[in-house]
Amino acid sequence: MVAFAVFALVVVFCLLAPFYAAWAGVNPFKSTLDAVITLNGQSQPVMELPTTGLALGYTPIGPTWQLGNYFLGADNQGRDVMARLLYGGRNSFAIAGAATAFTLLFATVLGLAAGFFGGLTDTVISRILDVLWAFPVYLLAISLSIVLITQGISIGPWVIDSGSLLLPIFIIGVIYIPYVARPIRGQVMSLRQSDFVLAAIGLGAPSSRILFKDILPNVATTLIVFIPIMMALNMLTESALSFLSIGVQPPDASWGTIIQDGQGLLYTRPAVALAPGIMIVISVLSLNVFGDGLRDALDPRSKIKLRRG
Amino acid sequence: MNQTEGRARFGAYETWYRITGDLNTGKTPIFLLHGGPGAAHNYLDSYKLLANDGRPVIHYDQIGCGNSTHLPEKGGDYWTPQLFVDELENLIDHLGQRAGFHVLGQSWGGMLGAEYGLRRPKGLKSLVIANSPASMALWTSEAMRQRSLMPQDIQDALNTCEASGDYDNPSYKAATDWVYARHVCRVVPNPPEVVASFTQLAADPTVYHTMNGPNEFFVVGTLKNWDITPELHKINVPTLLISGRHDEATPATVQPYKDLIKGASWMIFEDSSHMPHVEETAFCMGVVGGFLNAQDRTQHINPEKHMKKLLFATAAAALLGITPALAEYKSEHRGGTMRLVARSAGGTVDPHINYTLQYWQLYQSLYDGLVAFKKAAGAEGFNKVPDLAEAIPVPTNDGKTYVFKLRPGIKFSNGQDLTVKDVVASFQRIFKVSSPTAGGFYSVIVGADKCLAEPATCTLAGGVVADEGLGTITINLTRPDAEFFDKLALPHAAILPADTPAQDVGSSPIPGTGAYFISAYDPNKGMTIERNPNFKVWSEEAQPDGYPDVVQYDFGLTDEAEVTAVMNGEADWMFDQPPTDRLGEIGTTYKDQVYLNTLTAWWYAPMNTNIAPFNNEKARQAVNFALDRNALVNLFGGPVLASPICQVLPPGFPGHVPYCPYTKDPGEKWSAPDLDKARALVEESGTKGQKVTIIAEDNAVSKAIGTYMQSVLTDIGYDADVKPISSNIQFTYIQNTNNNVQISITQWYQDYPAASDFLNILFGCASFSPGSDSSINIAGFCDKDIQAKMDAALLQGVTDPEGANKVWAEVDRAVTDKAPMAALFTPRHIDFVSKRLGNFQFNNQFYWMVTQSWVQ
Repeated sequence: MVAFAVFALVVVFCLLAPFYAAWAGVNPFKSTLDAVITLNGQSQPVMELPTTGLALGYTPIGPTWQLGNYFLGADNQGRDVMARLLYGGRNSFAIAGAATAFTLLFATVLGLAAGFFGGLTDTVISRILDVLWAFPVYLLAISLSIVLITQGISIGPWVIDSGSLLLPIFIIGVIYIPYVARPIRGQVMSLRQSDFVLAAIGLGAPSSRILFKDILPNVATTLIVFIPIMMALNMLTESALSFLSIGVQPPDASWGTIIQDGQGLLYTRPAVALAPGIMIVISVLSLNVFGDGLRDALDPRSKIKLRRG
Repeated sequence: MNQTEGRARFGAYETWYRITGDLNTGKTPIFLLHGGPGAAHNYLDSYKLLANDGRPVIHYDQIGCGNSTHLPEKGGDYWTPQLFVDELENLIDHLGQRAGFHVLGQSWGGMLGAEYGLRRPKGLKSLVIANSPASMALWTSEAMRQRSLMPQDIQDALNTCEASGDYDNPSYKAATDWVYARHVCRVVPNPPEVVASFTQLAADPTVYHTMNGPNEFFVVGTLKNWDITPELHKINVPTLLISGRHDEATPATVQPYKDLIKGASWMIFEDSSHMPHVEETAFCMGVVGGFLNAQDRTQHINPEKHMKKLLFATAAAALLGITPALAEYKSEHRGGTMRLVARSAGGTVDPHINYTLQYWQLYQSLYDGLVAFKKAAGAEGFNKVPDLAEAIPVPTNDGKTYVFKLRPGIKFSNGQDLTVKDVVASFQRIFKVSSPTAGGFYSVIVGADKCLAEPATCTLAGGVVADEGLGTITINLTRPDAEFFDKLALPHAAILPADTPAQDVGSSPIPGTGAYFISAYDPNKGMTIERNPNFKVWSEEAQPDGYPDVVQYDFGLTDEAEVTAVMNGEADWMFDQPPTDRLGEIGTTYKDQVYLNTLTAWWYAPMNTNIAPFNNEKARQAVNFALDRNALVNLFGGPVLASPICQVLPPGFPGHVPYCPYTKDPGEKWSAPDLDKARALVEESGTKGQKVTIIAEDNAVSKAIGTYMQSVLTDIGYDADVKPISSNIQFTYIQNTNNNVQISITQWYQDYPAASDFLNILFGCASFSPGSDSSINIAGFCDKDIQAKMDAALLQGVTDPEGANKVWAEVDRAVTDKAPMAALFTPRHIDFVSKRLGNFQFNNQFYWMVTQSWVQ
């Protein structure tokens, strides 16, 4: 529960991003190289050229530790890192959340169909999932991204524009389908042989009724346990892809892109890369702890194990 | 910065001075001699920035002006150079600085500085002569020449009023203002410190009128016959000359200083006139500060008795590429292993195929052509000298036939003798291996069209003909080509052994005739270069002997690791430009190991003239007006590392005439973006709200520029986004029309110094091939009138290079007006070297001359 509270707190903060930006009077998506702020009564440019030596390099201001006034400093476009961090969190969560929903939806449908109908349906679906699963996750994500990010995608009437956030959602959603679909399929197959399902079949209940009334409620707990785990996994994947410039596209931000911006400033302004890194650690850790807790709470067998132990 | 003012008694009068910094820091102070005469210290204020290094900077007002005693009653016999020399000596003693000091004089102050220097005063460590003529006769004649190039109405106003002596006439004032804004100070309106000097000069013009005259180009005072050239040889301290490209003190007026002061270095600021310290402040401070630091360092290490060595060493150590052209070989520095590092290898080692700066730089000491670019520092490196050929021939047959005589006795590194057969085979091989420039550069040779069609059976029959008996090679062209010698001096025309395989050799090195050869090469690990045992110097200018015995080039480090390796002395030089994040540290703690040089290159944003929205000229111009070049310069690393531009040809390039229509107050120089105009143009063009995608590279700088441009394009009304794609594919991706790239960010570095290499290559109709990955006219720009003009200029260049350059200047303007691109900035190149590396020399054609530096 503590873990969930921590996670919820982070989400709430990120949701407040527009209010923070408005309050601080900054636009986190516009280059403001010539911005000047007031710091301890003195005006200070956000981007500075050194005045000593050969005057090389252009350095953004470091953390001021004053909320609303470049709290975490600026990035190399003179943008407020704190505001970007909050906006970036929204994107990271949105992508992770939507991708999780996408994965779970398709994984459930495929898992149910393969597990329940078996035979040819199972063979076809399982082999497709095998092929998808055979690729290393990141390799597949990167190759999909390179193609899709430059060209966009159009499936029938749906066109996803190349800069859209839907693209990373789609990419991440797709690559993790086997990860969820296969355990669901296994569970459905065993449920298919259980007495109450056989009884239902024997009573002549239609497949749809059996699927939705008997089987789905029984795999629901598994699905619920998957939600935080997939969220955490998707956040990491999103950050990794964005870090490799193939996820969220500039000037939009996600924690991954902010880390990438910060990589170029690691030597002079480490806060730019560290801050989103810490946020990812907090979010993923809390989600994982929460996921573990949820599994323990929902899984009757683990309770028995506990008692025995 | 701490400033103290004071007054020094000078006879019955007083000299006012101001010290910026602290005289007791131990760093050698610098005295600043202002110009005018009588202009006072004010306009030199920015030189106080030299104090940022801890160096005390002393400004003072010469007697008769500013805060010092005014003497309006004194006549012409009183105001002599000797008076001001005495005053300076008095001030130095008054401040107790006799032990050691530098002197910088600007304009008249530089003339005074030279007068002072030739008297060999005790304690003078070095001299900087800024924007000064060596004689007033030269000054006057150059002023007249400059005047003859001015618009007629300006000339008329000047002539009429000067004839009648009516110097207060408003039209005269307007004309002089026009001239001052071009040749005295190009920052208009003048900054306050410059205005202050002019104001005080007007209030008491005694000294100026007595010694000079009513204005800058009308010298009738006592200095009228001043000429220091006969005595310049007496100056025996390291001397730095600086001047501006648009300076009223033209290069011709400065030249005697360079010729007659031993070891003098000279830096011309391309974007400046008479006040580089105001017009290019940061760069100017970098140059002067670097020079002074180098003097302090060298003189600290070497005791005074080694004066001769010291002179050489100081000149050589002078930062920022202002190094002497050719120097005698210092055998005491011969030997050792030089260690170079780079992120990755430069690809195939084949000199006929490789087209990278990385290896072209190395090839200079490995291979030779019939002719070569001179191995000399600075712009002298643009000159061609005979290399394997005994002389550069005068073409016959209406400029279509060249006869080269091969030097005898030259051997390849494998011991084989060089013969005319090797030359013929090498020219055939350019086509057989399909060299990337075979079609572009060498198609002018007779028989080349057949070779391009069927490379495998290329003979170049009738094109390249050898006469074994005479040892000559005759090259016949299909038409005259003004740039043929440039092309022959490139690595793609290197002469290789006749039995070299007629295919890309990949990673097996080919023997060459240079001072070194590649003894090992693994593109994943590194390259080893050793001395060619069969090499004997035949021409110092074409192929000099080198210093290190071995050059070890390691690949595979990140640029961060490269910086650290050089800092720790584990490597002597890094190929890649240091990441922006480390620049601050390099520019301060390691500033003595940094060399900065202006490149004949540009960063630009080609706009596709064939698809919306940039098929609309107004839309393209809008982008040009909107971009803040200063912001772009800063993203690249600051004004020391780049200069804003609006046109195609970079400063210092043949045909370059400053031109900038896309700025607030259009004229010669970019000053500020004009967003209102940009928005209006977008509105007029009817392209508002259209989607624009900027294709940048995924490295830090290109991505930062892309992100910034996205912000600007959004601001002027487009729905813009930016896509950084891998540097490995971006350059070919943006060339291919199938990718429908609207606007991108890229760079172009010259192959050789000719205007056509920018204009005809990047914006010529022939360089546009739709659907191909190599369509270097990225904008797809093809304007019949402009192309006709380029063709005419190419032809005229054969007989009349000067006249052709004038045509190229017109082409430059025409292309800039049509705006198939937004010119962003001219970059400068950073060479970051180890502490032990000496004799750094930067050749403008092929950059740092690797083996001309020593490591011991």
